Amino acid sequence: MQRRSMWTNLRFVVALILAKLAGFFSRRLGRGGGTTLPGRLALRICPEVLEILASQLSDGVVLITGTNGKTTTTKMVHTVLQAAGYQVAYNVSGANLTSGVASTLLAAASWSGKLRQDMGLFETDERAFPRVLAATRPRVVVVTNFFRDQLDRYGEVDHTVRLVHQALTRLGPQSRVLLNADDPLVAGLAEGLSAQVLFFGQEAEGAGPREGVVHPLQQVMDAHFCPHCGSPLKYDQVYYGHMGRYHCPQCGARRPDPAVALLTGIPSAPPAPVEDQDGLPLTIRTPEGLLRIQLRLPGSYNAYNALAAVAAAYVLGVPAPLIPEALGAMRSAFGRMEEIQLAGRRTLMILVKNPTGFNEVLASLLQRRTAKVLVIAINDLTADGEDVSWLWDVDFEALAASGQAARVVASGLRAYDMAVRLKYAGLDESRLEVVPDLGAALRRGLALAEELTGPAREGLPAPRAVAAAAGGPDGTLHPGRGGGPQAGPEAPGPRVEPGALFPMDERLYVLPTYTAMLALRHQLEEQKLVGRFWQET
Amino acid sequence: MAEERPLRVAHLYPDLMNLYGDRGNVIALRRRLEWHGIPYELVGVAPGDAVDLRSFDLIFFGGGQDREQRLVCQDFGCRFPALSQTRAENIRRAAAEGVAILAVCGGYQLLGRYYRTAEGEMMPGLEVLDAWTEGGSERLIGDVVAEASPALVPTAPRPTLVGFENHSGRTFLGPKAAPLARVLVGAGNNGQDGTEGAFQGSVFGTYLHGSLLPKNPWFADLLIERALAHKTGSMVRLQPLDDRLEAQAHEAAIANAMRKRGRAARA
Repeated sequence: MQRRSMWTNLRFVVALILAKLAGFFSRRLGRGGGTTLPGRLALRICPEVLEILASQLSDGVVLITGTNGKTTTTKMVHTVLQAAGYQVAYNVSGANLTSGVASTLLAAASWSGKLRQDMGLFETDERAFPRVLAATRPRVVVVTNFFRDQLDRYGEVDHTVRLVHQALTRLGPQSRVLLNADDPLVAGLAEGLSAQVLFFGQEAEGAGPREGVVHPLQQVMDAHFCPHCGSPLKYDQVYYGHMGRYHCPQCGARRPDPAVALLTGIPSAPPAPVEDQDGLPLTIRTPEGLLRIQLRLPGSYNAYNALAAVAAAYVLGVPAPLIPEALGAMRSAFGRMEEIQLAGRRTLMILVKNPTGFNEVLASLLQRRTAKVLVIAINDLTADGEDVSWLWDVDFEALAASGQAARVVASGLRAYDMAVRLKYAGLDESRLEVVPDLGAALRRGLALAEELTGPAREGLPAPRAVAAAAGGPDGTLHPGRGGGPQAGPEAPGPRVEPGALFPMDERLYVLPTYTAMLALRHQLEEQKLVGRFWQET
Repeated sequence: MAEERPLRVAHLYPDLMNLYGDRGNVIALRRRLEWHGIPYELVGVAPGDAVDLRSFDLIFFGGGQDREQRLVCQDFGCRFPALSQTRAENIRRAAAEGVAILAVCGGYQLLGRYYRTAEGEMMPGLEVLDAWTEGGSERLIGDVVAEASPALVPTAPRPTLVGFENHSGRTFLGPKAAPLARVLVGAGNNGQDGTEGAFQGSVFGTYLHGSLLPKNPWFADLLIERALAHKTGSMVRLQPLDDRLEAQAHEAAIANAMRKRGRAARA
């Protein structure tokens, strides 16, 4: 706080007071919880506000960036740090631009500008990363992965990687950079850094040979080029997306050996079903020994998130025995996947934001082998990505062919884009409805679920047989129609012949993009159906 | 005899040139061929594959980043003894024989005379479009609405194309290529002359992702008609399909682009 001009001090005080007032009124008015507005305002008045506040964090700052898994990884690291007794300021609701990070610290600061926390933990959007890094001089940086996501905001993946790399070169040798060894784009960031690099990744030794295993729903490959010489990479194993064990036949570069390694747990088959409360058993090797974690979150991507979180906890010096207990007690981060009761109906809300994430979500839904009512809400605002062409990289063909989509309501600002995508994926138009208004789509989804499964009731879904893929010529379903000669739910693989029978799922599935989810949450809060999300933790 | 074989569609470099949902164009072509009742065969062509592209009726060529474009250029220069010509010569022949070609973004840039990147690197093109591309420092990103050019659709009302552009290259057209469309919303070829895309004979290039063909079914069918013309040697008119959902998506995309442009203009 020293060595600042009086003028800067004055601007800081004004910025702080106005930001705190803005946050207070924003919360009072129920407008988005003041997660970004105070920071935007304060940065206008005093651009140094982030530096000034972050400099008080005596235990340093941890930044987590990358395309997928930022929010969950951040929440995991936070849980572990809390268990270790740290006072941590962190951006809880995914407000991950510079303004969101600033808002977090402004809200945490007292009216005199003092922080009681001694550590900062911020998930940081790739675009905001260079500025947040310069302002917070992090002690630890975690980079999870680089996938196609909201490409229109950044240009292309290569450009994002360059931005992040340039920022990382500014870190000194006292900083630690934790990189995903299995993602060649992330591993390539290690080159030319002064900071100490530590790799995390999957180690096949404990998992048995899985030669050439490709996730059946993964068709999107973002990186198949050597970060050193640019030649095409050879994959000995593919874990998911472009993550795997790779080498470059041209220059001999290969996947770095991970210091923190996942030995078992990432299933080569699709991820475990959501109901499976036992979740994923993970064994993670750190330089200090093995950790066994029973993760209660579904999906192979959460195994990677846990791995990144363990790597961060390790370099931050958290005692190893604390880690499995803290991670084992976690539930999903805000909105990523949560179950709520809507008008008495179990409703699963799952954030979708890019092809890889959407494919993972579809894979875990298809694992349930039930006929479902889905509401898919696609917006194209800045936070969603303005280019909706990514929908064509999602494997909706698998959903259409599975016979598990009893009805789909397409909603959001790009409801018709979604509907056309499903039509071309082969979903019968009689199963498809377009309701652009989000609230109306939710009501329609509930009505369809009621129509197909009967009134909502608590407890487990009753398996009412429905001809999910073979409705009548008018598109109506025939509850109770007996099983035909075709394969039943036991049919292998995600693709099942038309005519297969699935029990009707009583849950409603809502798959929104980011701003569609915020808007839905807002409507639900107004109707007092769910709690205010920014009051979490 | 020639009528017996299925319509042959080639997807050029599907692993390299597949940016921004380009596979949606191939999905749309496949579905619409099915719905029109036209038997077809789809073949992916990777670098080094000794395939004679003159044996196809329709070629799709998607977008990629500079790095992928560089690898594709290497393949253009690749000589195939079985054909006794290079890939570039083979594609030029195919274009001259009336094979319909659609190229999007990065693929479009490589159909021209050259693409010079912002760093000054020269990538020679296929020269099947009288066009050239200069790298720019600022990316042109956003929704596009464009009206078909009179050269393509002589009489009004002319249909519109909707899509999303995301490119730093600026493409300029020479006298032999005609613009595909006139920009109503967005930047188009270069942000200066109001043109979007280009065509020359049955070779079409555009900057529109989106994906382009599902939301512009009239254009998808135009390409299929050109491909059928190549196969049968005579003009074919396709029967219209039930495109109500596509039409609604098209209209919604126009309204959406207008709304966003209005917002940008106010900001």
